[in-house]
Amino acid sequence: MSYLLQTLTKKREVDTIIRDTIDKVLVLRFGRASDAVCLQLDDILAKTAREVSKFATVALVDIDSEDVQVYVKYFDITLIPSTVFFFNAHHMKMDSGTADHTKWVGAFHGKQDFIDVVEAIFRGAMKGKMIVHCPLPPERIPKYQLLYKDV
Amino acid sequence: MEDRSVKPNPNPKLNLTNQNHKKTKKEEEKKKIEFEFCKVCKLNHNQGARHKYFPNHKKSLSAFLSRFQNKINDIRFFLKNPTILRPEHADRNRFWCVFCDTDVDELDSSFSCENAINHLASAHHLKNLKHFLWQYGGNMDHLDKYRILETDQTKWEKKCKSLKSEATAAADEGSFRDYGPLNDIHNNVNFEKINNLEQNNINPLIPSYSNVVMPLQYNTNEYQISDSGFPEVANFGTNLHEVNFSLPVGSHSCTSLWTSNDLTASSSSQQNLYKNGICSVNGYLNNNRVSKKEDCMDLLNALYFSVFRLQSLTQVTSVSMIDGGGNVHSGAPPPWLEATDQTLLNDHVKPALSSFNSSNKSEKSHKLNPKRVGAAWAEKRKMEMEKEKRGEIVNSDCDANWLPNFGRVWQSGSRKESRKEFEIEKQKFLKVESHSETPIKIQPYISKRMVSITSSYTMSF
Repeated sequence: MSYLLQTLTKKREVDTIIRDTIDKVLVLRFGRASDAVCLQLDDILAKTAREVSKFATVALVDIDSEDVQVYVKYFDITLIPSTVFFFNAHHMKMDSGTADHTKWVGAFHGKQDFIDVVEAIFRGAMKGKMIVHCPLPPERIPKYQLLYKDV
Repeated sequence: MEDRSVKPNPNPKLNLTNQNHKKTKKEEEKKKIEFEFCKVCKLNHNQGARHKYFPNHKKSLSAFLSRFQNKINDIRFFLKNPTILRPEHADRNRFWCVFCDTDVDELDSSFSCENAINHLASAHHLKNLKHFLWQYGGNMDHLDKYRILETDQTKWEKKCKSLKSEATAAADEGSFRDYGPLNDIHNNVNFEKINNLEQNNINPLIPSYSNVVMPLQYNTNEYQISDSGFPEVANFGTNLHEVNFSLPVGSHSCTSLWTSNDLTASSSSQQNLYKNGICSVNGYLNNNRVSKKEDCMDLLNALYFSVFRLQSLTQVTSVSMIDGGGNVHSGAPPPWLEATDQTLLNDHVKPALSSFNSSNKSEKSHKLNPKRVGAAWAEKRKMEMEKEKRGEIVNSDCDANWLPNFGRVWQSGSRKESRKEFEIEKQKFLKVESHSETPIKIQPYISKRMVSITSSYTMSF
């Protein structure tokens, strides 16, 4: 499933893809290919990648690679899978009622949920908003506990 | 019957978007009122109680009430003239009361609109009526227009009782009064004929069949006698048909041909006559329409064909079209293409297409919102990419330390601040690493005794 999507292991690759995706939402999944929830998310991403291809690009980032640790720290990724959204090299935030607006933690319940999320981000970005509201109802948003640094 | 009338929200919810107590007057006015559905205007609005005073609503309300008023007037007619309700007509008397949001049907009532009258006179209906007028801002003076007064209802009941007693008395006597048109095949046949007359007066020579209950022979023979002036077509069909045609007196040049053919036709069909059902075709020949002898032959052939095939299909009268310009089989161009040639569509289509092609790309860039996120970055990057495509070396500021426009979890401050934090932490991390990397000089361990021994040794010399 993840062989259908581009997997990035180097910082340079990540930089390139962020810089080169113009006027389209870039969806970066940070995770591990062997993790169960990651697999579920990858499945959904692979299936919907084509459908959103007109306004979004999907790529996977392997957090186990050394090079990418900068990004892992930068985005404060502590739980996997974490999905980060970009638009024109700007990081997009989404308020889904969880503690962390900067990324999406966990998988999606279905393909349509993912498409809705990406669409919401695209619409907000086209209007110039850097933070958007999540269109999904709360029961379809995966819940998690965020551990803060000082705890 | 449930009272499903929409109850308005007496206390529209105050959704405070922020807990800031320093509210200005403007903020106080902007209360968030929930959406309601106005039955009269048939739309959802969040204007709350103000909606009923708007002119649009008032217009819709008057239209709405007048429509309902018409229905009530129909019922009032039956209030004054109660009539026995026959079961087969019961479904015509269904009535939807808009105030109570209920359907009032007459399935088990003996008089027309009995249930409706009882409903309109009930206290329950009055209550709903008042509520409706209050909610939608109707004039409360005309309450009685939309209900039936009790006095009227009692009068009606008396009339009904007297009618009933009459009816039972008559039934006892044994005579059965026909109150209305029953399932009368005879009469239905008539209607069928009349309808067909209107539709099929183009060329009645081609028979058209339709599946109808077989009429009585007696009746059809009557209709076969046609007057000179009136076009009459009688079209019946069952699966077993005969074609029986007779011509009126006032026919034209084709008549001679017809009569001879008629004889032949009738002689061949004589055998089939009087056997089973009858299908009769009457014709009124129009001079304008049937002009050629070949057409007559064609028609006759068609008739033969249809007769002996015993088809039950309706044949389309298209004699005037046969000698026209051609059709699918002859390879003629289709009518819609011809139509477009006539209009200026071609002229419109072609320039539109070309303009579409040329301005496609330029339109696209115009459409992109200049205020979108990262617009400046996107434009800059596009230029760079174009340059790269052309082969020029681009001064890219993408070094190993490049990071996208930020990303942390943070509670306060702006994005840049969290990025700065990140940078600081990065620096610290690097410093820590550099500290640990300075080589440690390894020296052998010299104990104090050794020191004292060596010093005493040196000192002794």
